[in-house]
Parts: sequence; structure tokens; C-alpha cells
Amino acid sequence: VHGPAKRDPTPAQERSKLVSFEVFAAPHMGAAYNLARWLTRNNHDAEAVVQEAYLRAHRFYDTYRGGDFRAWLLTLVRNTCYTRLRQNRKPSAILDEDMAELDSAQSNPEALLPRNIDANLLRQAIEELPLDFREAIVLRELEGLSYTGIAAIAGVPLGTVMSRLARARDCLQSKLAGEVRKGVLA
Amino acid sequence: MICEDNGGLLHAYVDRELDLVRSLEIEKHLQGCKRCRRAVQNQQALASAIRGSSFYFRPPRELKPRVHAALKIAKEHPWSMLA
Repeated sequence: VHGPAKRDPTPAQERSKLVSFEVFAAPHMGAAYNLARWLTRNNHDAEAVVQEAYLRAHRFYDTYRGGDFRAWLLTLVRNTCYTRLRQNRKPSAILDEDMAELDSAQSNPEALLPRNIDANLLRQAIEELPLDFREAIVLRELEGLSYTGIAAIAGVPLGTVMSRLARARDCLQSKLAGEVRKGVLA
Repeated sequence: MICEDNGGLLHAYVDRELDLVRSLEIEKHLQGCKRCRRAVQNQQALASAIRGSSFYFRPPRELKPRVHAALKIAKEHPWSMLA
């Protein structure tokens, strides 16, 4: 059976596709930019990533099968970030950074974090997290995504999300507690 | 068991990702384990500090029109889209 779906879209259909895409995509530009900015740690790269991800999203809009549009878009943003980071850095750089961070991530569960955590220290500590830990923290704490949602975006099993979040928070606690100790001794 | 799993279950508990049976197990454990109670307190403090700070990066105002323009160009010249 040869139906109309086999034909190239008419100009009117193309226009309607763009309008429909923009209606869906425009409200999520904040989330797209926030994720890209945290992952790339750079305004210029974040803007370039969002633009590229939106172009890809529009190009592959036909493959979107309903469901959570923000999650679908954030998956493209995330993958575009990783591609860009790989292109801009030595192949081993991301891994080396991650290993160094992991070695130093040993929080002391007996220590209690101060009630007023210094926001600047915390921001810096998140920025210094390894890429996959940073991604999990941003998606969880800033986007409010469930473990299942994070797993879908990062393309990893649920258990990996759980352990990344646990270890990311250990890293953060260890850094914040270290700074507090330094402050006491100074 | 809960103390020894590197905190993963406690994190999932605070994140409300566990089912009711598991949550009740954790709550029972917390009553008798000071170490895990502290871990939960720390995790709550950390989460509220992250959410309470202005860590959400807002896109610059010019980004939306720029992306819109790029989408229009891509629509008119689809071969240039994924260059």
C-alpha cells in the first residue's frame, strides 16, 4: 500500500512541523541551557550546544513518539554536550579528571554539615564534580527528575544513577566539610 | 546492610524513590542508627542548599531568536543542518 506518508512533505506541512516543534520546544530552552551550561561549564559552549541540540531535535522531530518532551530534548542536549566535550579535549582528559575526583571522595558520615552551607563553595564543588556526577546532580536537584528519568537521559541503568548520586553527594559533602575544617583551623 | 551499601539506599530513601516496604525498613533502621541518621540529615541539608541557591543558569535573551533563526534556515536548507 502506497499511502501519502511516502511522499515528501509539502511546504505547508514543513511550516506546520516547525510551528508544532517550536510550540513544544520553546518552553524548555531554560532547562536545555541550564543542563548545557553545567555540563560544559562555559557560556559560549552552552549556547552553541543548545542551538545544535534544537536543530537536531527539529531534524529528528518525526522520531519523537510522545511522552516527556523535555526528557527527549534533554537527552539530545546531553549527547550534544558529550560530543562537543570529546571534540574539544584529549580523549583521556575526562576520564582522568573523574578518577582523580573519585580517589579523593571519601566523606566522613560522622561529620554533620553546617546548617548554612556557603553557596559559593557549594557551586564550586558542583562545578568540580566529574561530568557524569555533575549531570546526575543537575538533573536530580535542579530539574527534579526521577531516577528513571535520569537513567533514560544518561542511557544508564537505574542502579548506576543511584550510585552516581550517592557518590556525587559524598564528593560534595567531603569538599564542604573539608572547607569548614580549614576555616576552623585558620 | 543499609549502613554498608555506601549510602545508595539512604539516598534513594531521601529522594522518595523507594517503595513503601523498603522505606519502612529504612525508617526502622534509622531509629537505631545514629550514623545513618546523620547521613540522612546531611543529604537533606545538601539538597535544600542546592535547591535554595540560585544555581539555575538562565539563557541569555538573544539565544531564543538566534535558535529560531537557525531553525528557519535549516528548514529552508535542510542539507546544511547537521554540518
